[in-house]
Amino acid sequence: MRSHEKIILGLFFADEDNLVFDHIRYSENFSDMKINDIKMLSYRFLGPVFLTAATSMGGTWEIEFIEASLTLQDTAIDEADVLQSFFTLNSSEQTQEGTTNLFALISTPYTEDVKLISDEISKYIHPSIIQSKIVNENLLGERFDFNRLINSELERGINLIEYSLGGSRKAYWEEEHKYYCVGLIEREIGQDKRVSNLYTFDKDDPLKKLYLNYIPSYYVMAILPDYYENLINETIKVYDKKGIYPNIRNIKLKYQDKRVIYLEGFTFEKNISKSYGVILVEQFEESKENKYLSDYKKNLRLILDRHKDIKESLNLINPHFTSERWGTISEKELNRIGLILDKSE
Amino acid sequence: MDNLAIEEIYKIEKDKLLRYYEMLKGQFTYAGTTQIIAQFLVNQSVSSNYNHIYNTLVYFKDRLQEGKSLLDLAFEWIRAQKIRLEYKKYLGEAQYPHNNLSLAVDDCIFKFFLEYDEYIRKLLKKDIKEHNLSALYEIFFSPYESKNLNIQDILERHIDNVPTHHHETQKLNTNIIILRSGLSIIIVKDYEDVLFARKEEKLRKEIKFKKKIEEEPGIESKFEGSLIERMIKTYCISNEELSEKEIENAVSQFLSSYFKFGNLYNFDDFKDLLIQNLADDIHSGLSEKLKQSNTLENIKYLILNVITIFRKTSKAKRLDGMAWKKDLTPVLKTFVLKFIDKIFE
Repeated sequence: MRSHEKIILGLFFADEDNLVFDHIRYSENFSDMKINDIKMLSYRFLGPVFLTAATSMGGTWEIEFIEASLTLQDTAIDEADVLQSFFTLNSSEQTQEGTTNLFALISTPYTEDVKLISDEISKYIHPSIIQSKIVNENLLGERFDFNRLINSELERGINLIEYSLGGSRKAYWEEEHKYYCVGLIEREIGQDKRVSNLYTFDKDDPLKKLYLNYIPSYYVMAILPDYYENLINETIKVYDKKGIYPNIRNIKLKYQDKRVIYLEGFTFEKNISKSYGVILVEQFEESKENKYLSDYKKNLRLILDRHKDIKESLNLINPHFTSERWGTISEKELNRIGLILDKSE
Repeated sequence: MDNLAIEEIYKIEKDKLLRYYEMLKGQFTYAGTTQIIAQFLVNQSVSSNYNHIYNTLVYFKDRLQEGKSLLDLAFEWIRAQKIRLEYKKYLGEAQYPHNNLSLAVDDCIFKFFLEYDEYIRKLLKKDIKEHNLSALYEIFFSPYESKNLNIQDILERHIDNVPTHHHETQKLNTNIIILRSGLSIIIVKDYEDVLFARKEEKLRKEIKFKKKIEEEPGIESKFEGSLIERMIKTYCISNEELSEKEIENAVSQFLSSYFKFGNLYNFDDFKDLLIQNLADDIHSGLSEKLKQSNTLENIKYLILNVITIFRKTSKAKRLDGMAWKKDLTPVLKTFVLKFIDKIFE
């Protein structure tokens, strides 16, 4: 097997007009249908990136990072594919004409140095695309061919990322921040079961209104985990990786100096995956409810291990939450969130 | 990365260098500052060409940030040699798939020069034309033995490659293109040198291995008994008595010419060869007259008898060369001793 057949690697570039260009590694043995499905991944992964821009109130949010944990669940498979990491990274850059996004889809059999790859994308590959465009446009004038340039840049970029994969992960010093939880998402997924609910403040609580300014919207936050988990699952299937299933672990979003983290924990019992995830806003004012990520991780694990109704555990996450359940699956339910929770007045 | 990080990673002994510079200043009281700094840099082995260094200093003198001096530029020139050393060490170990030169350029720029670019720009005026920077990189990071580091020639080459771009009055960031323009040729040349050195090393190893194989004895190689032949020849002429030690040495040399320590030999593979070669050497040492009474066939028959008796006591089929030598030396020594004793009978 060639080395790149063991990994999933794609680089998607969306220009100022949201035109998408991609460079994706896949096996030469894949059928045309499979290749078509793979080619669609760029649009599907970038979809919510555009969506946050479209639905955000007062700002273009970036989905910076999505990480899923992969578990071996199908014991009937003779030989399961070994994949250790699954994550996506997105770099957004402002140009004179608008925002451009460079999105990387990575899954490998190793525990990757995410920071190194993130730096490669945001500090080298993405600026290189923008700068090459400026310089070449200027030098070549009418002869400038953007398609040619972007294909060459994406190939350079993907080579650089691929070369960095599998390296030893370094420990980086990072300032520890405290976060405030603005919502908890409960999800249960099984063969014939699909439940997803959001718990948050009361619709009239001033805290709901206050924190709405620090997230893209309750609507966007409610759909992201389910959307990306399904998409990652489909990606794994389309690449013929057998016996492994994803669970969203982490989604990071940012807008200017605002930071949102979605953090999820899960259990898998009796063929049902049960998960709880918290929507966290980086601390901007002192509050006794602000906690470190490690505290939230611990509390999520506690809730999952208790096997009790979530309503009894909401206090652990945020005492201001009510037990009102906001469904997040059907369009009707989501529209309700949009109409009521995302109402800023 | 701030100034401190680059200065910490690539440390130069600034105090020591400063003391040395002050000493030079004391020696060359008649010379101007630029001349002394040029001499200082020649002595620090940044380049062998005084004029090239001097002209570079003169060119950049008016392009330095306020508060920075030519001595600061000189220190950075020295630090650049340290960075080059580290980068070369890294390149020496790098294994780029398909020896992808473009990847080598991107990887080295990202790992060694991207943050350095941010650092070195603080030394130069903000409105400096970009080709000055790419020219400076070429000068700083070219190998010591580079023939042409004439600043004017280099600037001429760079001026059209990397024009400075502006949006309204603001200079656009094209740092990656500048880095590629200044360093691509150097990195490619350095990596090609690494590849060449690896190829040479591989070839050297192959030749060594081939030679070793050729030197290794095979069943087709010969026992060389030149000492036995000479000893018998001398005896036939002088008739002087031979010591046991002399005979033992000759037999030992005969066996050593074939058996090697660490190699295993089957008895049946060397038996006939040993009989034939020993008989040849003994027969060849005899005078013409003695050859008539001791025919080659006769000698071979005598040796065969000795070996057959030896084989009755030693049943080993496969032994190390040294073991065969140890076992056969006393047997053949006794045979040669007896043969010489009866030679004139």
